[in-house]
Amino acid sequence: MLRFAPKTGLKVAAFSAASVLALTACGSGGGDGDGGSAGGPVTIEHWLWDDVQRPMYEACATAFSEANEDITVNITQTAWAQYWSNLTTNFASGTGPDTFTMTVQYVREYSSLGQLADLDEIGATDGIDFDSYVAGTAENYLVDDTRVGLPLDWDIVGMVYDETAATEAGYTKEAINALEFDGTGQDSFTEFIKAMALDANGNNGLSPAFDAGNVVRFGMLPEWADGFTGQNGWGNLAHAIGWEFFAEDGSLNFDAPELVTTLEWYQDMIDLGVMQTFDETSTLGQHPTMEAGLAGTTLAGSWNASNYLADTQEIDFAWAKVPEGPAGRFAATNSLAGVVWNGSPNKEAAAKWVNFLGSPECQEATGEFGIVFPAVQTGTDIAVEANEANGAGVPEFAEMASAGETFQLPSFTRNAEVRTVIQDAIWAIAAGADVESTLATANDAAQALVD
Amino acid sequence: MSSSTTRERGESSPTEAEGEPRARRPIHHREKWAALVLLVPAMVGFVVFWILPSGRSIWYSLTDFDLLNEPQFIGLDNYRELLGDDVARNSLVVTIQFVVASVVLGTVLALLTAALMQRLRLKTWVRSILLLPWLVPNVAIALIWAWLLDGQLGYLNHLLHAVGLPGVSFYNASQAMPIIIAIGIWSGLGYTALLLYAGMTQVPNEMYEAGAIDGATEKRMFFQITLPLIRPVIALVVVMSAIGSFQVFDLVLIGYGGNPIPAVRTIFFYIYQQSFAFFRMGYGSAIALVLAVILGALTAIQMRAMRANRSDLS
Amino acid sequence: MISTPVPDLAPSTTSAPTGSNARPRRSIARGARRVTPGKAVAWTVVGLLVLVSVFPFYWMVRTAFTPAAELIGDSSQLVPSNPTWINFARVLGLTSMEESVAAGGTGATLDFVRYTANTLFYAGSIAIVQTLACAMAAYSFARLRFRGNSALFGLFLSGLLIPGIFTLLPNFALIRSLGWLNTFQGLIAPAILVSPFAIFFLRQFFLSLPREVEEAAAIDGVGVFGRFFRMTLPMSRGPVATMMLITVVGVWKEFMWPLVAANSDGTRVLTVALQRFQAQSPNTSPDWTGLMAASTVTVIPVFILLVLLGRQLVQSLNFSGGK
Repeated sequence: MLRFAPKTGLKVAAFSAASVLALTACGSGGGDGDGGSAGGPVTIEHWLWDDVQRPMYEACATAFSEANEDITVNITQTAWAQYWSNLTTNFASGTGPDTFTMTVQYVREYSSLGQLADLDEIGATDGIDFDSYVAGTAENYLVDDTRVGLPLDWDIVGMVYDETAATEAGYTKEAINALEFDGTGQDSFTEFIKAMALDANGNNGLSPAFDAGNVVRFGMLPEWADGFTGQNGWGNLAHAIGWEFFAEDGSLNFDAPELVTTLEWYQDMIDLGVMQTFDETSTLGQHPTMEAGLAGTTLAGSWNASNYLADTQEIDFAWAKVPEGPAGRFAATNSLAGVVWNGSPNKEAAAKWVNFLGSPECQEATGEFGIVFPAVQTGTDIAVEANEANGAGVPEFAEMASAGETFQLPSFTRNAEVRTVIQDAIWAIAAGADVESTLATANDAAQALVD
Repeated sequence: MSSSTTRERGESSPTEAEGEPRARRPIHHREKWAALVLLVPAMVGFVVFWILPSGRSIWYSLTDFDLLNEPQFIGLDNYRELLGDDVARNSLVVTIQFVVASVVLGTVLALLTAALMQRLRLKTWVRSILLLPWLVPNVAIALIWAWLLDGQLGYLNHLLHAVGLPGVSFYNASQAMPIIIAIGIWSGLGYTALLLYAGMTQVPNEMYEAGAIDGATEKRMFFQITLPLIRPVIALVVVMSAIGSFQVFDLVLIGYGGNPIPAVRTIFFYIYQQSFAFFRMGYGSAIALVLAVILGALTAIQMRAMRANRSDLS
Repeated sequence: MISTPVPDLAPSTTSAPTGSNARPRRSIARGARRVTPGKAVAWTVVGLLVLVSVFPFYWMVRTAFTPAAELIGDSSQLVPSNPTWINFARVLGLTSMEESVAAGGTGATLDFVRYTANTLFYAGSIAIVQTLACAMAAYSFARLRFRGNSALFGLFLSGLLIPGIFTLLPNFALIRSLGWLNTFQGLIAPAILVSPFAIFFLRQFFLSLPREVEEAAAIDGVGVFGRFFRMTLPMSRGPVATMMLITVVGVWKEFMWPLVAANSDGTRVLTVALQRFQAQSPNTSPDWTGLMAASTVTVIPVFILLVLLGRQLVQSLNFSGGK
């Protein structure tokens, strides 16, 4: 009785088509409000990873907006662990930040992918006096003669330790500043960290009664997630006994005996119970672990100094130089820079912002915070003074820097892959794998990526 | 699965075998046309978002594509590289081990749970509580478990230490995969069990009554009556589990904060890593294509082997 | 882990009283109602299962109520010593930046209301439209004859074997070139019309429906659309609802696609928002109390669903009552 003519069919077809059309008509979800066309007010998106540094850059942003009325700077923080993958995803979507913080390790990679704008071309370097920067910071961001970044700051690695525990163990700051590492396990540095280890019965690591299964405070907190740099750990110690990233012929040197010795020393310390096993690594980072008194000392970067020395800390921390070795003393040093994304629709405004970031005006202001050492020398001077005034001064940093007791971090084009290869090797070693063979395999793999 | 009638066999002829009046013909034409119209939305979606992207992916696999710039054609280089890629091979092995363990263990546990549900006549609300992990997104699950298993502060480790056992850790190379497997099973158990339970309730009572009359024990009835009769359900659950567990990707990505240890890098993670972290989308696509082919072959074999086409019930 | 339900493969058994609470009475003359040791063990196992299913979520909530400063000290307590609302407050953006930082965060927030709305739209629209489109296709395959029926169906089935990551990037490139990135249409486009599994599942069911009614209607001159929309669909309420439910849950849990295609405030969904919150942790350490608060907030809708509709949920998965 019911006749459903092709009309119903049409209805169905119409429904299908309509759904698709309706979807098209759906309002756009809207982007992040990234900048208007030329002439209108513009918002610059800037990314960084360190939440502690954010307030100082926001202060710069405010000052910048006052001087440039139609440019607003919006700063987003993404933790280091996700920073680079988020950047990539956003670049691919076409919604990358206009400017962001760059570090030496990654600069070559991102430059080769064409993601970094040439700062000279877009006018970001106008009026910049490159002599005002601390030596080396600006050069790091000159990739094949293209200037891709203006330096923001420089940093160096030191040793932070629990002052109370050290005093109890009989160590003064002078003694700690004079510690030596030679990879044999018989040096004063090893003795120090053993002395800092404490088991549940109150025995420290030097005592024969030390119970490695019942440790309350480890001697030293190792850092295993440094990729190929060893910036906060093994890199400093390996350099002290003569290791370098590159061999004489320019090839990668990750299989060198000095590095093997250093990592084997780490394994020995883990076996002794002076360092925690890899499994026991907490998701809590270095600072909370130290703050909870779970380890007596660790190597950490100068950008953490204000954290550790803040009054709110329950434990009294102090800083010293990294240990010296037969080849000298080498503390990892690095510099960060502001860069402009090549896909930014607001390059002109972005250039002005990066220019401002690299200027003495901004960097002297950030120096006042005393959190980092700005790349501009006068900014560093101010930072040092500010720290002294707060009782958070660490003269050791400047001393090591000026004495040239440093090593630079390398940068590779296929950075992510090299990083993964070496990182995996380090993790395996941290879990107990044979150091020599693991490093040899990894070095070959990494070398293939660099050629 | 269905009884086929003569009608399934393709186009009609102008005069029906059943000898129906000619008035049928317009309806058959209308039928075909109607079928096509009904198919249009799904076809459009399938072609545009499944077939075309697959084709495009095949194209990418022949290029050097860093995601941010235009792809450069390089022919079969990616495949050549893949042949010698030990890491890819290892991660495929890891993935297969993971899938087999997950599916076997998961199905067995789900069967036991379903049996319990049935035997104990569990109330609906109990069965629905068991569904909770399935309803929660993997992102949240990964975070919760990463925290529960924290090397220093995780509560689970606290409990283990309290009874004298060593802790477990995401970062232990030999424990990591089993942990991920366990979490995967945990999150799907309630759901899988419910499905199997649904299958079990299909089994007519007479079967059990007959078995009881013959003097069979419960255990025997379970193995000889229930299991065989729900074989198609089990088979389907196994196949879908396998396909799904290949993709336990969110767990790994979030649980490790983006940086998983090698032990848990399944082939899917490897593809993601090559494509998004190493800027080698072309190579990633090549791996994905090879994987798709392997999956297809495995599934075909699986379905054949379990003779899942027929149920002993219908 | 797995993603899909199972079709009713034994539709024509008329003998057993099936239904979601089917209780096959194993009339073994052994007094199955007594509490035997076996039973006790069985109940213990069930209790353990429930505990294991629920405890991690309890722990999540408990951590969410712990002040960040006491995270370490309290880590082995079942109940926080000083429960606080501050984590929820700062996650939902109800505190100032200073308070948020002081409480252990970075000022990152989770715009719960908006993201939940986005997720509801995402899951709901796909569930409804996709299921309908797939039902139409499934009916076509199940009931109508046309050349290439099996081949075409086989083609759709092959889609099941295509791993998600295979289509992720090309779809992304397509959506980007359409200018649909970070829009709702771009978010729902790939899934809105088709799911090979849904087609398979619904076709199975349609095949199991008795043909007589439809054949009678056909003789009466009811056209295909009439038969489908006015007869078959209403008869299939159960499985269609089940399919929609499964789809809603699946889409609710989606992460990779919304991450790459719709990561702007206007379109972000809960899963991506949670990951973003994790990414905005303090650089030195994950903000666990905040993360757990954020996770709790994203789990709440699911929990409410379970409490309100748990029974229906369970019963629809056990849709043997599909007739």
